Amino acid sequence: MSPAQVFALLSAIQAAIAAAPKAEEIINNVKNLFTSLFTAKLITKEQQDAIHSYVDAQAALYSSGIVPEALVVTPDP
Amino acid sequence: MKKIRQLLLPLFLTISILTGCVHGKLEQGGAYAPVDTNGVPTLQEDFGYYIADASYQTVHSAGMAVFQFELDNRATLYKISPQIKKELDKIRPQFWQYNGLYLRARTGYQLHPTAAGLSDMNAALSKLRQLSEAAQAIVPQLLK
Repeated sequence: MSPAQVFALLSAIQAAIAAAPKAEEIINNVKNLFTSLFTAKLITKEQQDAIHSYVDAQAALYSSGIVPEALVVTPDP
Repeated sequence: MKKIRQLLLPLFLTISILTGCVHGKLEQGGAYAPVDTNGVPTLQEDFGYYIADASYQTVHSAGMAVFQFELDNRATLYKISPQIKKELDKIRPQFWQYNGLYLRARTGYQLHPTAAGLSDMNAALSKLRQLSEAAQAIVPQLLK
């Protein structure tokens, strides 16, 4: 990659992270899952309910028939 | 994205091998260990169901983050490598399809919580996991 491409990519990554800090959220999900699998720690009501709500929300979205924009295949720019 | 992938790959492998080993306990009153108004369990706590949903959350959110990242930065990424969009476009419909399979299997399991129902959820989850991993691999691979 050329330096310009690297710069463009870094800018894009920075913008994406600033706009939606998903990476941190996903890493936290992974940590919680690890904790629940490999320690005898109590999985709190709040943790359970948060996961359940997330999946319920996806189920509601799926039932509505609305495909998320990020999953719609559109013509190339 | 690469960091997420590095975290997820060993996680999924480990889950595949070790599910059923020492694990946490579900606090009574949570969605996977429901109780009535007197605090008496209404159903036996369901760790398998919890793990399936928790894994789904991780797999789904990681996959969606990739698709959203590409969409949000399409113009830039397309200039760098048009293949990123093309390869992700191959996965997008399948991701939606297996997402739906998992969610339908989950609805069935909620109505009739059987081992076969949980197995259906895990089968859909396994495919969704593969698709999520494939999506996560595309961006770093094509930027090399």
